Amino acid sequence: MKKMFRKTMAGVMAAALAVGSLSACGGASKPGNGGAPAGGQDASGNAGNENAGPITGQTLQVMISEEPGEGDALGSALKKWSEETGNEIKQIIISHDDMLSKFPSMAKNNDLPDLVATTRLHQLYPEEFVDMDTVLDLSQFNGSALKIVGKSYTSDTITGIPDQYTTTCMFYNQDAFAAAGIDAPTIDKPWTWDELYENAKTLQEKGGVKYGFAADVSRARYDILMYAGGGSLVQQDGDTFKVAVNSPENIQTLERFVQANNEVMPKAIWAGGTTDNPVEYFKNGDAAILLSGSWNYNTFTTEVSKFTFGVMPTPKGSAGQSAIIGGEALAIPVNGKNPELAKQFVAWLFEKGQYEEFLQIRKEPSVMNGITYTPDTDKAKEDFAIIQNEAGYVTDTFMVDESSSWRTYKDNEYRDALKRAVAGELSAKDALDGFAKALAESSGWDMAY
Amino acid sequence: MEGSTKRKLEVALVTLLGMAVAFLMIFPIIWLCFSSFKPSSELFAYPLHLFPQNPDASSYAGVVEDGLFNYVKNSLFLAVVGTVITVVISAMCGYALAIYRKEVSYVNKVFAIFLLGTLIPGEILTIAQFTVVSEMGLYNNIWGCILPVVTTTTGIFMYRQHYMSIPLELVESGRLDGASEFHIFRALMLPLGSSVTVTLTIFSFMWRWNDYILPLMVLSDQDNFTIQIAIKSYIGTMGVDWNSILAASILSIIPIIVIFIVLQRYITGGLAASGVKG
Amino acid sequence: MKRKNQAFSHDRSFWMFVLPSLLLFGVFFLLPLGMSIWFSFTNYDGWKTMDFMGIKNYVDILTSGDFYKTLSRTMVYTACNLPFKVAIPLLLAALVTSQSLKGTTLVRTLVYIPVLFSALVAGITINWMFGQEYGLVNFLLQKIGADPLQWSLNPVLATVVISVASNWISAGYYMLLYVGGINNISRELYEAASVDGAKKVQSFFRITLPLLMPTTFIVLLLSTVNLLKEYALIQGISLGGPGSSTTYVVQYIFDQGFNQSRYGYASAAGILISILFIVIAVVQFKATKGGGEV
Repeated sequence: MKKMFRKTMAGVMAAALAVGSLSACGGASKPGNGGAPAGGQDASGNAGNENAGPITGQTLQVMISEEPGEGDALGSALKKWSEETGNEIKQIIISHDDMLSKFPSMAKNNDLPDLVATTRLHQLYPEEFVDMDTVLDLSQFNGSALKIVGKSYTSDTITGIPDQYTTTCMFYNQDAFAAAGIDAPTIDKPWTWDELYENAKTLQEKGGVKYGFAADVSRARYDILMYAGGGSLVQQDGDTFKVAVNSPENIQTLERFVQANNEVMPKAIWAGGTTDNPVEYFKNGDAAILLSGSWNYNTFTTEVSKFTFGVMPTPKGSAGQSAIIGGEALAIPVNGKNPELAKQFVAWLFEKGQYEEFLQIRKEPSVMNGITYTPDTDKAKEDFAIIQNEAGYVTDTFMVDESSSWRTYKDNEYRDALKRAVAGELSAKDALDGFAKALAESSGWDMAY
Repeated sequence: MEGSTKRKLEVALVTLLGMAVAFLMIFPIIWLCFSSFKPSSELFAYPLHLFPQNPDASSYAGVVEDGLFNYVKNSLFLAVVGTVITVVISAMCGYALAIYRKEVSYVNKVFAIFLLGTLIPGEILTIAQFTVVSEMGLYNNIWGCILPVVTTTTGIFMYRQHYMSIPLELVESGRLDGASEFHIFRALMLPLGSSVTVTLTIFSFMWRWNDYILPLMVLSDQDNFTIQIAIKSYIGTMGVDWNSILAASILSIIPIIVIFIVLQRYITGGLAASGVKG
Repeated sequence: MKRKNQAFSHDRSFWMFVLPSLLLFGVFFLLPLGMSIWFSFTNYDGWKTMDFMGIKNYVDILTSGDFYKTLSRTMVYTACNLPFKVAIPLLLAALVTSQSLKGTTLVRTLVYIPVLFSALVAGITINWMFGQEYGLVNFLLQKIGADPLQWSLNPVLATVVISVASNWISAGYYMLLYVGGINNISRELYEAASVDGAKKVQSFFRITLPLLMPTTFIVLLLSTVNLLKEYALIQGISLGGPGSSTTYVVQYIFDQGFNQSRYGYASAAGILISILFIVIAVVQFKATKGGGEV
């Protein structure tokens, strides 16, 4: 009886495996026949004679995320393009976090969309995306925008064109400032970080706000404190890099930040125990100063109704001011069903008149040379001048860090280390030491400290 | 007379307690529901009010515009088809594990294989499961979310326990009448397991309705997405779109509550009879 | 001869009934299990890389201090919640089976409804109640003159919120298990007790509780495994914070592996944890003698 059990089991397993592998063949052949719509073939047919005229009557599949404030500009551009060219648009909405696991699974199944609006994918998997040099004349674009938002982590290939270009910036509640008797800093007379923390305390006491200062829970916000304090994540070391996360400067900056969290900031945000968004605190009038991204400006103009808000320049640290720029890029998967159609859209979007219109909705710094966004009102013009000025504070240390592509080795661990320091689980030194060690281990770089 | 007053008092007190407990359990949902009708300016404004001051259904309109009904339709298909398969195969399997316990010597070994399913957190197998699904050509196919999860140890266990308590003589008499094994199961024994069937139907519907990770990986066409994926999409990197998520959550629980209320009068008997009595 | 044939036909019928389940279970559970074991010895990234790494993943995990910290945190969480997972459903069951309760069906239905929710929705709901800034609970606390509590900032309070959510969605289910158990206790036992002059409370402790032991064992076993696996709920509430104070093993695997595309590493951690779960379950099963004759 026992023997038979084994035999039967073996049979069952063999059958199971056979089902698996048989269908595997079916799966592999599927995209050839059923998987790819006829459009895919038409498109490649058209690729040879591009000048024959624009593609029409097909469907462009676009994968986008749902970051707030976005979608409108890109969405209306897509809509307009669709009406002009007679092509259909099909959207797939996947959050930024889920895109990282979704994209590989789509790739494995030959089911990539034609166009992706992404913050990272084209930089992580450059070989999967069309080299934009073959699509557009890249010289008409702002060099640092291309370098930071569009370039592959591992080579010089530009695999995405920024459709969203933002800088870190500080918003403030003018009513709270007036109530506390504090004058906002100006471009010529910025505060120091110590002054900001002190004023935040005054705002909390007299400005009628719960918190003096709040910051998005993202290392792309915290790092401007780090760069202003003279620190960096890595240091150039000939052709390679050294890990400098746990430098004395960085430990000091983090210690100060932890203290600020205890005194003037909504600590739960950075300690990581909540899904709350500090932007809501600001909009609600509960936080007087907000360190966030310039893309919020657009939403604030419509959604902040309880008070007047303004934009102020970033405070100085011991090494001066600093800013981080970033954004989202449009990228075209090489193995998408219809890359030619996506190329047509991208080329269309970045025509001068078209892009100007796009920027007018996006209300953001331009990525194209010779094109600028001009706000309608005087106040907005003033604010926008400050935002544009911020982009000039990008430090060399940030550019070196970016060129090291440290995020390909460790990413979320950094924010987790900061969270644990703010939560008081680890000292600033232990948190940074721990992350430095982990980064050194997986990157193979030496430690500088 | 005095006893009757005391009894009345006891009934009143216990009933009051029962109602209080029930209210406490259900209150978070009531609060969620009222909140979903608040405009965003009221959601985060102290002092809080139980009832919306300016009720508006715009967040519902918003999620419906986002295609929520289509996602509900997909989830319904997933849940109904998945549940039918689960009930059929679990009944067959649990029945066999119980009825053939005398005739087939390795019954318990087969049962032990299924028990593995309860001990290993399914989450860790997701990637491998997904690989199998896509190798089988079921990628971006709703069946790719159904087939991997229809076998459930709980279901098999419930039927096994139930049929263990049914006298084997019933089967024997069926055999003596010359009925085939399958006919005995279909016509004679399956109706006897209806209490388990109802219970498992509720469970399975609930599990499939609430599935998240596998559908997220397997489905790539926005038109095929399920309700849970839609809800998760309102939790962004920078925070939660509370307006939409409250409305979507409320809409997502209505179908499952309806199913439960329709079937619930069977469930207590079902669970009791399913052998978890020990 | 005839006997043998009959036995053979029983075997065949047995397999006919079991095969659909076994086939699907084999393809979608055992096969992935085998694959995961294989992945655990590689640096598989879910897409392009898969090199054999030997036991490196296992060594990395077993020498990581964070892993043990997370593990012991999970154990503490599980141990602290077990009494509630048993006591609350038991009391609820005693209440809803009480002859003095009017509207039994309504109460049972309402208590059971939270069980129906996905962990995601349940997490969102409880999160909405216990929000530190704009939550209802803190609002009510302030209303009665108390200080608002730091639900998202204090590790203990954050754990309390998750425990509340966890009990909220499981109490109804375990309550029904107990209701089934109570209904199986013969009425005569209680009648005999009341003749002896025993009070209701006494008969609960003397009769109900001991006779419900088998159900209690099942509840213990199920809730132990479910508590050790706690994950999805936390994604709707604290995301594992503040710091890492509500990060339990399954989330640790996700953070370390899946979110970074280190599937090899994640698989190894998963295998280790599964082994641990099995050991705990077996120990519990043996210690309680299988909850009687299950």
